[in-house]
Amino acid sequence: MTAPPLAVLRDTGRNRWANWHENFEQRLHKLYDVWNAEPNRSTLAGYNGTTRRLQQLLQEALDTGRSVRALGGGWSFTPVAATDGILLNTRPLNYRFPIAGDQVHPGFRGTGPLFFVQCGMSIAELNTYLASKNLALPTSGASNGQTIAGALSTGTHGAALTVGSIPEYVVALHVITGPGRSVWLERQSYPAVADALAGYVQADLVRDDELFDAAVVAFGSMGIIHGVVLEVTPLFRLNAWRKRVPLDDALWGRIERNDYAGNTLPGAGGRMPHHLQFVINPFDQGGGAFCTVMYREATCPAGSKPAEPFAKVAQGDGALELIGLLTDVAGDLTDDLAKLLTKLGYKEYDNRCGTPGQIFKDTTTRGHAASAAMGVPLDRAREATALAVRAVQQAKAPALVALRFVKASPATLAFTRYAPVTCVLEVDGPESARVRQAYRAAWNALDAAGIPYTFHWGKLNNLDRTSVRFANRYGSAVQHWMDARARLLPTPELRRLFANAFTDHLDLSD
Amino acid sequence: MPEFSSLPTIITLLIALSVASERVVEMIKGLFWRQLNERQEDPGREARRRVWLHVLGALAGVGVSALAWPVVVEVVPGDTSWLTVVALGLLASGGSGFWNTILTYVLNIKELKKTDVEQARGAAGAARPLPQPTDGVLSPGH
Repeated sequence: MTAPPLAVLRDTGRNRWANWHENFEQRLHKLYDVWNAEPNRSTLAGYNGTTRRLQQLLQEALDTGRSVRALGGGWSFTPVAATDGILLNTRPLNYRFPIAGDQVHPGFRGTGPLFFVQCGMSIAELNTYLASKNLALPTSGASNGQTIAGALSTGTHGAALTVGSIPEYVVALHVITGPGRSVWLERQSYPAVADALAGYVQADLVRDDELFDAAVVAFGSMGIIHGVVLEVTPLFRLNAWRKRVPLDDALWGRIERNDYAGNTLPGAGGRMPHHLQFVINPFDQGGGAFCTVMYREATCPAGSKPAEPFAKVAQGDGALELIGLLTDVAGDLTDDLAKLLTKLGYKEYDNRCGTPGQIFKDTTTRGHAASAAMGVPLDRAREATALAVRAVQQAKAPALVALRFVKASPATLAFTRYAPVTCVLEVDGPESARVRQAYRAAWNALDAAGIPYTFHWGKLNNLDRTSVRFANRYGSAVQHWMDARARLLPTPELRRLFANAFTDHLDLSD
Repeated sequence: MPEFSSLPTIITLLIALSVASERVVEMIKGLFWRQLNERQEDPGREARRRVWLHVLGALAGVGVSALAWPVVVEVVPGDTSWLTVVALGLLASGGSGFWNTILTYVLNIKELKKTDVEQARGAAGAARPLPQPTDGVLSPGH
């Protein structure tokens, strides 16, 4: 048997790396760009050659006592994916393999077609690729720059009420767990592909719900996720509306009951929302919150207009940075600048329609942005929102408070863990002292009120190993996750290989 | 709201206004108010001389900014009014040396940002065009 063509590791010569939102910089030993040997043709041999080369690199890292992390899209606001050891830019790894009908497991209970894609494929790339086949991802985040493996590993979510977050449609993982082993991981309760496929990628087949649920949100600490199998859906359209609506008792009642039957949300017309989000400007609530609501349709309704970008100013825009600087110097400007922020980024629109890829457009801008997101149970969402709004007002922070609603995830450390739907409470703004002050105040207020909440793994937080915010929120799930990690990475050396400062900080490294 | 990228242009305008207003102050001092050129021994008189120099500098700055109105409306983003002229005049009275230093800082920051952006984008794989591989078949021999 001929050896597979090995991937090319290109040493970038860089010893520091900044995330996309430029709110931290990581010093590191090496940053490699990883390229498949045959980048323009998806081949099983090429895929296996990349696995082999990555395993060689892992051996080198073990020999020199360095840790290894795959970078993904660099989208996270926290150094969750970073390491001071070897960082791998896996973005060029974008092989794609449709799973043929006879390669699907006979016990597969899903309905959607399956695709095996390599870790570096971005959400934007997947949207385009799948749309060309009249297919779509069931959901994604609001921006599209993440890689599929990175978005998966941090539990990235959109605002899909009935779908959940990205881990919900990943049905198999190919994880490189060390120099001599890789694992094809599926749920026992939801087998996806025929047993033979694990052999094709030279991996050990493991079907285990607990292991899968732990590995699916592990922020890169359980090995390198080299490939994932996605269960996709026929291409659909999102009929989108954004209007200011009063967040009154009636609407809060619906939110708390998760009951949208007969709702009067913008454009509803008897339809149930697929995507629901509210954005509150703490300094201008008179006109209500900006409600973005999208209804899933097979085709665009007659009379609808073509899609516009979800937000014209995304986190990372230069305008955000300037607003942060100005309000740090002169807090009295905050009121006006927060209004400007909403004016720039949240224009009202009605009856827009497009595919998910057309609605959630490219985010190309960047800058010093800050974002924190907390998962809150629905029955405490109203109280938590009021506290977050007050914290922003008191800090005179130029920040907006957003609410999104995401179906709870079974992933062990998913931050969207509150069933049936988790309210994701976000506070977004420029990276500035006032915004940080608002975060601290909001977190303290939530603690003082006894509101349970979790943190988005890829966004700003103040978790640490002793923090009640961590242990109390996840309870025994933390130990289950650690046990699963120890099963996948059976030696201390392997666990150290995929640890980083973030996992050390949370006492999750061993 | 000026973007960071437009700051060097605005600062360059301020340097030009500063140089022009300095010339105006020099002319006034030389032609009409020679005492202002001479340092005073008495601390009180020296303090008053300095105050007058500042006032003269500010007035010259405002005057020069007003004369440069057609340029000001081109360079300063957003709505401009007489307040813009006053503000620019006061800023210009800071002196061309001061604004030169600020411009150097701003250009250095811009360069650093550019490097950072290129570095991060390079790391994100955008430095080289990403491959667009054809679909593969997940079976041996492919």
